[in-house]
Amino acid sequence: MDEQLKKAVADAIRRSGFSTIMAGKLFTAEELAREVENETEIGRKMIEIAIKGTIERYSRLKK
Amino acid sequence: MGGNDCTFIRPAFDLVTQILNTKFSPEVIEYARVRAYSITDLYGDKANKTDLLGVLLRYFPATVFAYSHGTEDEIIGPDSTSSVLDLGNTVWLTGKIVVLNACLTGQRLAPALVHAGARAVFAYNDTLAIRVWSDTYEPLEGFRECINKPKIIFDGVKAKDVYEAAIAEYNKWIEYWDERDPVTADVLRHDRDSFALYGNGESKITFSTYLLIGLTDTFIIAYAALWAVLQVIKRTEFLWRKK
Repeated sequence: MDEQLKKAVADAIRRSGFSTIMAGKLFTAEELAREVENETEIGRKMIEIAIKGTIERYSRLKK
Repeated sequence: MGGNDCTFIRPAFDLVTQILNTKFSPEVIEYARVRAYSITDLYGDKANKTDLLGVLLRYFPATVFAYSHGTEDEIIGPDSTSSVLDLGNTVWLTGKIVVLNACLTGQRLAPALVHAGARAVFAYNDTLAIRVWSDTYEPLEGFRECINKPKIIFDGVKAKDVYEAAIAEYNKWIEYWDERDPVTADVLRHDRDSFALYGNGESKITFSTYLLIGLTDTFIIAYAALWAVLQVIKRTEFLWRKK
C-alpha cells in the first residue's frame, strides 16, 4: 500500500486524538495509527474507511 | 404481556460491552420505560440462552434489542466464548422486531432471523465502529444518537421509517463532524453504510393495541376498586344509616 496514503491516514488519526472501538477492541489514537502504519487488518479497514469518506466528502463539496 | 413488552440483551464481560451497556443501551431502556413499555433486562450474566428462552416464553416481547460483540452468525454473551443468539436459535425470535447493535450480524444472522420469521431486523453488515473520548469513554456527539435511533420503534413508527430516520440522523452528524474532525465523520459514514434493515419495512409495534391493553387494565382495576368501596358501604349501612 502507498506509504504516503498510510502516513496521511495515520497522521489524521493521531491529530484527532480520540479513541476508537473497532472490531470489538478499543484503540487509542496512537494504537490505531500504528495499526494503519503496520497495515494490519484493522489498519487496512481504517484506510478503506478514510478513502471512502474522503471521496464522499469531496464529491459533496463539489456540488 | 405481548405488544408492550421489550427484552434487552446486554452482556458486560469486557470494556467494549461495558461501554455499550453503560453509555448506549440505558438511554433506550429509559425511552421505552417512560412510554410505559414493560422491560426485561438481560444484563451481564443473564444475557445467556437459557434466560433469553425463559423470557421469550414468559413475556412474548414484541421487540428485542441486543448490544454486544457480534460475528456474521452470532451475538456474543454472556462471556466471550458463548453466544446468546446464533443461527441455531433464530426461530425464538419469530414475529418480533429485532435490533442488533453489534458488528457483522447483518451478514448472516439478520437474514436468518427474517427467514425464521422475525418481522424486521436492524443490523450492521460490517464492523460497527465507535469513537469515544479517551478519558471518560463517553461516545463522541452523534454516535449514541445514531446507534440508538431505532428506539423510535417504541413510538409506533414503521420499520422502514425508522431506517430512514436513522440514515438521516447519521447524515446530520456526518455533516457536523466533517467540519470538526474528518476521521470521525468517516467512521460515521462507514457505520451508516453498514446499517441495514431486513424483513418487512411495514412492521411496527401496534401502539393502539398496546394502549387498549393499558386502558382495559386500568378500567378493570378502577371497576374492582369501585365495587369494593360499594360493598363496604352496603355492608356497613346499619352502622351509619339514620333511623
